[in-house]
Formats: sequence, C-alpha cells, structure tokens
Amino acid sequence: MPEQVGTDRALIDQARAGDEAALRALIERYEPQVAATVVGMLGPGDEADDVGQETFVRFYQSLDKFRGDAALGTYLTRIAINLSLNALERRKRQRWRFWSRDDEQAPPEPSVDGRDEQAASERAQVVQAALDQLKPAFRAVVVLRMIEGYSTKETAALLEIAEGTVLSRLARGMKQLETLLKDEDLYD
Amino acid sequence: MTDSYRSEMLRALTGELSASEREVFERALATDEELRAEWEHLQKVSGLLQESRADSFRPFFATRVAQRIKSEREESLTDALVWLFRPLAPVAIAVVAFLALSNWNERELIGDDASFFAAIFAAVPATPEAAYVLDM
Repeated sequence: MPEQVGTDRALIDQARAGDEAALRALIERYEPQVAATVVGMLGPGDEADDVGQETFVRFYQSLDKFRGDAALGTYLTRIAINLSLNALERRKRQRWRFWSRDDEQAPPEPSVDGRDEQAASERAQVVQAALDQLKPAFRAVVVLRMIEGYSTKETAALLEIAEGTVLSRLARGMKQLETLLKDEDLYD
Repeated sequence: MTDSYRSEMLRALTGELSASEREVFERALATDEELRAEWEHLQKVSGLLQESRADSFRPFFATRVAQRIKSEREESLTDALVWLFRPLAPVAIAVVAFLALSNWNERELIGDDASFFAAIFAAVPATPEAAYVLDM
C-alpha cells in the first residue's frame, strides 16, 4: 500500500511535531490491525484493550526513533505481539497463584437459533476459546500467519524465530485447533 | 499425517507454494481421499479464523489512547522537574540550616522568651512592643 505508506509518513512527521489530530488519525488507521493481533492473542476484554493502548503509547514514545525501515503496521504488530506474550506470561503467573478449577473453561456451545449475526459472534467466541487453549508460542504463529496474513518469512522476523519453526508451530497449532473445533459443529 | 506434510498443506493454503509444488500438491489432492478431507478441514478452520478476526477494541479507543498519552506526558514533565531540582535539594537544606542558625544567633531581637521555632524562623510576635523594637 504505497499510498498509505506515504500518508503514514506525513502523519508521523506531524505527530512528531506534536499534532494530536495526526496521532489520532494513525491510531484510528491501525486500530483494526492491532486489535486483530491483540484480541487474537488475549481474547476480547479489558486486558486486550489495555495492551492495545499500551501498544500505541509505546509507539508514541518511540516516534523519534521510528525511521520507517519497516511498515508502520508491521512495527505496531511487533510491539503488540510482544506485549501480548508478556500479558499471557503475567496471566499464567497469576493463574498459578490463584488457580481454581473454574479456570478450565470449555468452549461455549454454538447457537442453534439461526440468527446470522449472533451465530457469527458465537462462532467467533468458540474459535477464540479454542485459540486460548493453544500454547502462546503456537497461538502467536496462528494469529500472525492465519489471521493477520503475514507470510512465513514475515512471521519468523516478527517473532525472531526460524521459518522452519514457524511452519512446524503452525502445523501443530492448526492441528490442535482442528481437533478442538471438530466437535463444535461449526463447519457447515 | 506428519507435521511436514501439514506444513506443505498450510503453505498451499496461504499461497506460498511454487507453481511446480502446487502442481504436485493438486495431483496428490485429486488421488488421495484422506488428503482431500484434511485439506477441506484446514480450509474450514482457516475460514473460521478469518471470520473471528477482531477489527476494533472497545468504543472510543483512539480517545482513550490520546488521553493516556496526554496524562503520561504530563507525568513525565513532573518527573523531569523532580529530576531537574533533585540535585538542588542538599543546597536548599544547607541554606535553610544556615538561615535557621543565623536566626537562632540573633534571637534576642525577637525576645529571649521566644520559643525555639519562633527563634529559628525569626517569627516576630505580632505585638505593639515587638513593632517598636523592630522599628528601632
């Protein structure tokens, strides 16, 4: 998207100069991409919202250092995925401290009432619950590769792992997802 | 099915196979029923993942981020002032101690019966006599 890259650069320059409207325009432009990453990793809710905000705050703090070597979307995704992995690590530590059997959530039952929008939303919940059961390392690969649409090479660069590791984690993650979703009657 | 075979299927799904690899894969699909079933499952899971893609946070996200950045900027300004003035704190304490000692030495000016705090802060009692003494 060369046109967007051009306008990104102009908005970044304006934001650097203290233009709040330009910063806001960048946030609005990249909210969908950051939300896809963060919500895919953490599920919807306060924690995801907080990590989303933190992603843009970190970006703002490093505005002076941002040289535009990577596309802004990729740069933000890198921040978002790292913060999401940190949040999952924190969540794991807290669960270990306050563990209860209630934490072992089964995926919600899909709707059978036929209302398309509600059914789609419930399908999304079921998929999210299945994603939540993947190990963070596998989930990160699935989110970046299958939801965000990054190539194997880009995903490897974002996560700082080998391309072969991306492919094997993706294969295992997708296999686990298939198994989890197979019983949910979502395919047809 | 092995992980490496699944990797090939995933590469096919995401369009990363070369033309020749794609040709081999399609031939295998045409002849292998198990592979075809796996391929269909994979496509369905991929479709579900795409459908579940979130494209926003809670409403007014940009406003909340802008407010957070603003408040963090104000906090960082306060931190910067603290950082700037912290080295001056020992000097300020020394000046206050010097003034207090100097006031203590001159305490007869405000009366010998003045309290300790009145003496070190040179707190002159607000009386007509005190006004007269100071005026002299």
